[in-house]
Parts: sequence; structure tokens; C-alpha cells
Amino acid sequence: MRFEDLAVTSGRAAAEIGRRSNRPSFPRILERRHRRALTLGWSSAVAVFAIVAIGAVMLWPGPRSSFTPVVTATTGSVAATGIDDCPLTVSQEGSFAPASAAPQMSPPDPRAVWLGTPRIWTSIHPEGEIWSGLPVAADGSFTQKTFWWSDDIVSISDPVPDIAFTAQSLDESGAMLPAQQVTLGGNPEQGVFAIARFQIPEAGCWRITAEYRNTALSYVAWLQGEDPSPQTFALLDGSEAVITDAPDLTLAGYLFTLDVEGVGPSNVDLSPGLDPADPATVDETAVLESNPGQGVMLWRAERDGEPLFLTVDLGGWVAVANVGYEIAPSDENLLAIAEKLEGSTGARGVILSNYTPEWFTTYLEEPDSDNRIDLLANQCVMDMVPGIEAIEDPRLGDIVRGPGYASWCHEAADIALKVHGDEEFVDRIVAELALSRIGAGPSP
Amino acid sequence: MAEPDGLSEVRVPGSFELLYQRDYASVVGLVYGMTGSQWVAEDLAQEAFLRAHRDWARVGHMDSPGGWVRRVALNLAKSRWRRLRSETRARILAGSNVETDDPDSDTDGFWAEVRRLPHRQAQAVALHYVEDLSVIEIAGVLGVAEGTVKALLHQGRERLRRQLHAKGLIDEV
Repeated sequence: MRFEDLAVTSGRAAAEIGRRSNRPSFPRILERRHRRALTLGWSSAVAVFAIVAIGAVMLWPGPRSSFTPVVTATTGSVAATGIDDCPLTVSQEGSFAPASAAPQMSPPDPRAVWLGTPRIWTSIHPEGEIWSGLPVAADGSFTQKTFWWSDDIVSISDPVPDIAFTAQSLDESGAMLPAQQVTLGGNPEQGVFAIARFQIPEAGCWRITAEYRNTALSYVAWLQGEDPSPQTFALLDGSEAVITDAPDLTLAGYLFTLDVEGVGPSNVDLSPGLDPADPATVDETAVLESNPGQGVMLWRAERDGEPLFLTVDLGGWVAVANVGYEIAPSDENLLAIAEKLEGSTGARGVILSNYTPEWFTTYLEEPDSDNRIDLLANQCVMDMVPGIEAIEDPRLGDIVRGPGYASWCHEAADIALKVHGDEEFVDRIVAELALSRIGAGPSP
Repeated sequence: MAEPDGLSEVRVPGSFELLYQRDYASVVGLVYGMTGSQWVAEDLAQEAFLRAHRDWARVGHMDSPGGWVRRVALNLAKSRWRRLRSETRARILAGSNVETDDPDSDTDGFWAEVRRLPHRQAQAVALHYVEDLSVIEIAGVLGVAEGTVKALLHQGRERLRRQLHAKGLIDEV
């Protein structure tokens, strides 16, 4: 037989198998995955399907109390004790349209709707704002940015308008706090807007208010607390992994290379903390390039008017693409990298689509120590270090183990884990991770 | 958060439903070539569509949501292949029996050899022969340049030709 004949015949045979396959209704698939997730439970929440099913549930907003504080100044506590007691603000699409000056303007998130009046408006999810996976500061507070528009906010170069932003707890504490920082941002799709950043001290029911020229706009949001475990990482190839949270471990950063066609390999560092909306250093400026989605903004940093590096603000996490090492920091190259970095925030990780990862490291580290866990994607190979033992764990499989080192491989998620640190640390991490598994490996 | 009463009430966007109905069979066929198992192909195809549904606000606005689904499905197949390879390696090390890839037909043999190609080459070959996609379309799915696709197809075919000949499945080299 000739090669081409066999290839074409084989292709048609595979396509025919696809045509003959059973195509269940999509809601049926969701239901099956949901049941599978419930069976696995949180204790084994490593399964990718569980995450998918939970994501599906999240898409279904569920019954909520109806509450429509459109433009009103409100005070007082309703002592909400759970999300069901939290009077989430809901809004119907089309209840408000921005001024005629920007007729094509749409909310940053396609699911969101506008809320407010031409004097001051914002965007919310029509079924209510539920905030989860927010960055957690060292003091345990949650960082959240809120976005606001006004007919009076015209240019990003204008002074920040005198808008008072506050967050008030509707739980027992009744705490009220101002926005920690207010800046202006903008892009062609959403025009110019104010960014009010809050450091919210605790999870629960919060009323967010903007007061501007005798007009107040409020909405009520639910801030989901941190589930102590597990932490979910959305990996670069679209798969996901879960790691048990060790109380004194924090996700410290990502480091990977980005292979940009026509540009070459570029180093990208994803780190918490740096906010490109913060005032730039003396000779640097950060210019908003575009806003592909809610909480995701591309900033271009310049030094003395020359492109320096690109940052992608993922709502607390910032990807910094260095372009000065191996490639020319031209506008063209910066934009090529920006296109590659299009992505979306995950619970704590980030999915970066449309690029080729060459290597990739996520690491967690223990504050004030050298203890550290590395997660390496696309490198599911255990290091065979001379002089240390290889032990078999019934759940994790083979572990290469030494006094200050352990590593193992999770084939399903294609992740290698390496634990470095003192012996007590390695003991503890191996024990904790052995109980929760990482990746969709074989069941215990 | 309140639990939904029934997931059957989940609203599936019409545009997503159209994509699912139109492309599901094609994605299953594509993944079948990469895995050799209809059950696995259906499972991975469903997983890929679930991911698209979960992120439909973003995926639905892409130039080619179907291309995105295919890329995810191919990546899932790749991850599974890597796991199987590691398991096989572990069994060899442990001295236990190893399941062999014993094809039942010439077409099975063809796909078994495709799966031995480097992933990108295998993916390009599968997209070309299962879905009959053009170079431009394959480039869109894999997220690479057209020139890269041409090179992948050329290298993949040449390597495949040698492998198939060595297995006695084709006459020519």
C-alpha cells in the first residue's frame, strides 16, 4: 500500500469513529462531571474534573435575594452571616447605558452589566458580585480593585476626581474603610475610568459605595473567604493541579520563558505585589495598553520614553515580560508579547493561552526560611540524585527522598514537584501532599 | 453560595451549543487518532468542551472557538500519552508485564505510528488527515506559523513513512 492511501484511509476511519460516537447532551455532561466531583469530595479535590464541575456550578448563579439599591447612599449593618443573608445587588441588562458620548462602550466582563447613572456608574454581574480567589496580603486582608466611570472622567491625564470610595461590612463588625488607592485607567473599549483599590480585612458581605457630587452609588458584594485548602493552579497547557495549603507557605511566583514567534524566547516573571497602576518610579511610566477582560490589563512600561518592559496586571498578580535581554524592546515586540500573554485569572493561578512554554516553574516558599516547593510543568522527570533513596508511596508513587530534598512526578498533570529545605520541612510537605495528591492521578 | 437545584437547568449559550453539536464528532475523531481509544477520545473531547463552556465568555469571542477546543483536546491527549509512557516505563523498571500497542488493522497501525511521532508532528498529521484541514487552518489550531506547519507535516510524513515501512504497512519508503 502507498503511504498517502494508508494515511487518507486512516484519517477517514478516525473521522468515522468520531461520527459514530455518542454525543450526549451538554447539560448531561455537566451533570455527570458534577456528580463525579461530589464523589471525589474536597479531600481529594485534586481531580481536574472536580474543578471543572465546580466551575460549571459557579456559572449557575442560583437563587439570590433581590435587592436593587441603584443610586443611594446607605448606612447600617444587616448582620449578614452567610451569602444567603447577604443582599447581593442584582441588575438587569440595559437598566443603564453609558452616555451617548460612548455608545459602543461595554462592560469589561461580557457577563457584566452597567449599574448607576451618568454621574457615576460601575459594572456588576447581573446576578450579584461574588469575589473569590482575591490576592491575600501578608496581614490576611484581601486586595480588590473596583472600576468606576463618570461623564466627568474624560482623560487619563486629568486629575483624579474627588470621588469618595468606601467599603462597609454588612456583617457584625460593621467595619467601614476607604479605598486604599484611587487611580485612573483607560482603554478604547471602556474609555477612561477610576480604579479604586481596597484592602478588605475579612471575608463576608460588603457594601461598596462611591460618593461623587452629592450622588452615591452602592452595591453589595460577597467576598469569599480563603478555603485553607486546596490551592488551585491553572497550568499553562490548560490543565490544572491542586496543592494542599500549608498554613505558612505562600505562592511566591512563576518564572517561565515565552517563545514569541518573530521575537524569540523572552523571560516572563509572574509575581505578586507590584501594581503597575502605582505611581511609576522616577524615570519610568506605566501606560495602559489594553484591557482584555475584567481584572486583566496590559501595561507598557517606559523609561525616558523608551519601551522597557511589559506588565500584565492580573488583579494582584503581575506578569513582567522582560524584553531588554535578548530582543529589541520595540513597540512591535512588546505588542507581540502582549498578544501572547492574553489570559485570564484563575483562583490563584493563571492560564496563558496561545504560546509555547519551554519551561515553567511555580514556587511556594516559607517566609523567613530557605524552605521551598517548586512545581515544574512539562518536566515530569524525577531527579535521580546519587546517595538518596527512592521510596514508593502508595498514593504518590515513587518519591526520591533525602534529608533536605524530595521530588516526585505527577504524570497526569505533567508536573514535577521538588521540595527543598530542612528535614522537618521535607517530612511535613511529603506527609501533607501524600494525603491530598496533586493532579488527576490514580485514586488512593 | 447556594447550590443549584439541578444542573440540567444550566443555561448553555446558543453559540456554544452550535459549536458543540457541529464539532463534537470531529474532535472525537481527532483525539481518537491521538489516543487509539474511542472511550478516551469521547472523554477528552467532552473535557475540552467543558473547558470551553466554563470559559465561554472568553473563548466565544475568539476567532476560532473550534480551534481552541481542538488545541485543548490535543493537549489533553498529549498529557495522557505522557502519563501512559511514564507508567509503561515504571512497569518496565518494576519487571512487570507491559501492555503492548498491538494494532488490529492497518489503520490502527497507522495511528499507533503517528503516536510515536513528536507531538507537534503528530498533531499536525492528525489535523490534516482526520479533519482534512489546510495548512492555514492547522496553523490556527496549533497557534504556530504556516511555515511551521509545513515543516511539521513534511517531517512528520517522512518519519511516518519510514516507521510504517519498517512495520511492513506500506511498500514504499
